Amino acid sequence: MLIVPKADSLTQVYWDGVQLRELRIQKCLACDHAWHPPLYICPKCRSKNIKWIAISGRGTVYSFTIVHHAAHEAVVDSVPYLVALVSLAEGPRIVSNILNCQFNDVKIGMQVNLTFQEISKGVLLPQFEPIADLF
Amino acid sequence: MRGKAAIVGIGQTEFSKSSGRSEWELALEAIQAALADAGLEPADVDGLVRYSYDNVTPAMVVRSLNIPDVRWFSDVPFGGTAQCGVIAQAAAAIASGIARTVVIWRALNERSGVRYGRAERHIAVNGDLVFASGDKTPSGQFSGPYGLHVPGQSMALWAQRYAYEAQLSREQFTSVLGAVAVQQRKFANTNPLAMMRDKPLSMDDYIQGRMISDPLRIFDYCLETDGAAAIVITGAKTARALRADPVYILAAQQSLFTHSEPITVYAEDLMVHSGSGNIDKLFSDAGVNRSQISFAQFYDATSFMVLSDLETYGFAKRSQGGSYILNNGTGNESPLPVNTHGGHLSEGYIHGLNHITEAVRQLRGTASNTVINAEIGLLGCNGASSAILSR
Repeated sequence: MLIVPKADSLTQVYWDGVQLRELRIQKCLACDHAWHPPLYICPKCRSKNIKWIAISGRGTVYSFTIVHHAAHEAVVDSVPYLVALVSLAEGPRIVSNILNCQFNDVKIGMQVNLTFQEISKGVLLPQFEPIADLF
Repeated sequence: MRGKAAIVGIGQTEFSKSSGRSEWELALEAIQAALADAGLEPADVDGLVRYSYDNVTPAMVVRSLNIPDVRWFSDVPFGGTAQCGVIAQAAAAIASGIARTVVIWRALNERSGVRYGRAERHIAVNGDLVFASGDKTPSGQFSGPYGLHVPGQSMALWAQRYAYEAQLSREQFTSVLGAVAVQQRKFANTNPLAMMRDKPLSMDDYIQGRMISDPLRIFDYCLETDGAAAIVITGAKTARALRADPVYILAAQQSLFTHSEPITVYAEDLMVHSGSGNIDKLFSDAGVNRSQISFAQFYDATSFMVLSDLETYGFAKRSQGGSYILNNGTGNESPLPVNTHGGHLSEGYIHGLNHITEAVRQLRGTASNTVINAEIGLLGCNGASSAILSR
């Protein structure tokens, strides 16, 4: 069993971007504010003049947890696993697993880069991994 | 609203892992106990407030108890945010004259029925591919596929960030959270109503507890409980006629802020869970200062929330809650006894309504773990829901 994201009318552009190996967030053309998850108008200045941008791919680990107890039967065989919050260089925070990283190596403040993980045939998830040249 | 309404009745069922009864039946038992405690009949009730999460509807209660004239009823969304939201709505209705006597209840078979610590209720299990939808965290499309499924995992993310900002070592942080869990278990061991009354917990036991979502262990988490609680609120004048020890509502509030949608991982500052200024307003509405607070009952989905609430409500400075707990503890000998019934960690999990019944027992002087000369009590959930009560 595998948990996959279900897009809706507000988030379709996000998941369409993921299929193209692009992580898109919304940005306000009036005030430059960027945010996630998606909304209909800029939550800062209420402008409707907003667009989707592809992020640079750089982020910083804001927090993390190692999940030892599966809370859904789909992940019974996956524990222990790492869940992190990554602050994007553009500002917003997103949930990620940090790939290619030992549990003991993950640190708050660690620099990470965007990558993509094929969790099932044709189903991609945006993910992050440590910046290689630091190690 | 200050002092215009008072709690005159409290009631509850047994708290257990398997009630063997429907939530409807549990709700009725708790409500009838609360009315009997108040010396009132169902016909005296003209207002109802419940948690939106409750499966027992106002109509089910009205029909079962044959309440002839309910003029006002209300639902409060969320779990912890509803804890004092139900008090705020009842007190506001009474202060404005919409209702005279309001019954509040929360009934749940949260262990034998739908378990809030499981994610299958949000991500339905049907086939090899299952879908995470909506944008809520945990378990929505932006968190469910990553294995962020339940509030207890989001709170582990809060806790890890807290320890980093407070510069607490892993061992220090364990000592702080363990101190909360062990103290609350001590309270439960002398509270006949507590699910954990017969199960002592030492610091060694705590440390040996299995890791659930690092840094939180099994004993950092609330219990899963079958049970119900209810309270009756009426106007201050009626309250004084009914009993010698009404518990007055000095202030009560519910709060939303930009990233409230539970359980937030997107707020710019994950240590803040309420609108700006509303804690100051709580104390000023109540007309009391922090030094007058005799005890606090903090909504403890995890032990970490006790730590963060000491800071949220201004009893410790930011990032100083850990050293506050190590220096003062949260027992009856400390400047601020917290969760004197054992809290969600060790008494039972009735979505915070059992914190309110405990506050009432303290202010009546009938609690098992009596805080001597308790005058004023604070209730709070991350600043998202708060109340100040007095005897």
